[in-house]
Amino acid sequence: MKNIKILNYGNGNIGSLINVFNFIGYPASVVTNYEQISKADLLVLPGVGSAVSSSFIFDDKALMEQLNLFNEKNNPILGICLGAQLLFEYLEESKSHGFSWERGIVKKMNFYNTGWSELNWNQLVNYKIHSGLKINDCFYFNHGYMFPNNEDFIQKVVFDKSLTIPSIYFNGNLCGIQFHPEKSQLQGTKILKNILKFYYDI
Amino acid sequence: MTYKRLIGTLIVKDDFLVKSYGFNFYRPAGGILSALINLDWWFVDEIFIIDISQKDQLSVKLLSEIKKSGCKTPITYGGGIRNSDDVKVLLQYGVDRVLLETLLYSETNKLSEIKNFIGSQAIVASIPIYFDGNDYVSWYHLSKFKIRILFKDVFSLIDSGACSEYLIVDVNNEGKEGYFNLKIIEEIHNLSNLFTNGCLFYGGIDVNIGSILLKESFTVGVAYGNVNLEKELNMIKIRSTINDKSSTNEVRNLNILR
Repeated sequence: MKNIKILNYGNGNIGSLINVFNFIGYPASVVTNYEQISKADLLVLPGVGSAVSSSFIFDDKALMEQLNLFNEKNNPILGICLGAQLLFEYLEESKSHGFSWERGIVKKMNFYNTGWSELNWNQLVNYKIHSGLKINDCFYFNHGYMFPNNEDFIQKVVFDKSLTIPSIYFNGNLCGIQFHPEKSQLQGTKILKNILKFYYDI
Repeated sequence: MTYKRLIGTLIVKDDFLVKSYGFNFYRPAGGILSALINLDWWFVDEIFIIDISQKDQLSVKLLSEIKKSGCKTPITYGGGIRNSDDVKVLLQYGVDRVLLETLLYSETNKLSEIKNFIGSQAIVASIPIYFDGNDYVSWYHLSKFKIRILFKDVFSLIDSGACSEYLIVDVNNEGKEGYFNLKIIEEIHNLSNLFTNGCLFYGGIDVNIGSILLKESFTVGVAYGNVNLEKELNMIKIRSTINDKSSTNEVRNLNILR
């Protein structure tokens, strides 16, 4: 059994995430004290919300110390939507820095991207992350800002069908998902299961 | 960019799921939990839960049912939201977006708070609309008063960053399957100088009306209410009929689900 911890930083649909991890058979719990972070097998940064209200997290030195240590040890971190955006250097929405674990700026889009879209899996079709998914499975997006596609720095990026929205990225221990797997019905649960498989071969 | 959405709508009054007719007459329509599970199971693209109880606090019972459902379909919640603290509570129970009405116009400080907390991508503006004999108008409640607002004036909300989508509600025909007033669409066409993208429609929509509405470039989804409560399979029929009628695959195809 893996120890999956969800960081409650004020923003995030914690209820939905706990539900979905229960559904896939890997119960998750919310971090209630910072020392629990170091013992996690997977740390999830949820994200329904605005970067403006999450920027206080960077002022919490004790929390930042634990998070940076966790990342430096290459422990798996999964960011979802805003949670994925926070991993980058700078966020236009809050006009403030992020964790800076990834290079680049999270920029405002000129439209709101809300709804279901297929992904352009191309070279990742035979990758573990795609296991059990159909090429035309759709996923639920809801965002007005997007993280950059830094192919120079990031190992693998999956775009949406239109090839405009970077939708999933992997970079070592970091995985960011722009859409909401926890709200993408059965295909979303498969992605989450595959991420656990990807990191732990379970 | 994304497919247009087929939305299942649950109207709740005093903790009971109801069939609503023009938001004036109601009758019980079964359990909230089973309706949520059914809509989730039948792959609607989104679920709207609208609490019309007009109480001054969120219903713990209703929120508990949402949480219990373990719903893996996006949920947008409207009714009785007073401030960002309410929105925080809603997120903890499994809600993803909020539907606002009065706060959009009358309590802009609270709207800013909510926007700063959840982001405008997760705010949908509820626009009830009716024909007053001369104009298509909307309204919002301020204390005990109903404030009239011209339909065209609501279309500044996305531009101002207050919300990301409009839910246009045909109040007069709500609950009357197939009676959605298509003159509302003409009215939107007449506002061609305004940014009208991001419209969702609700109230008296059946399969045919849904197909017509989905063809409009400003439509991003249609919300079905009473019509699908008893027969959840209707949503599958609606999806496949709309796909059959359309050459452009406006909505997710039934064949690719599951």
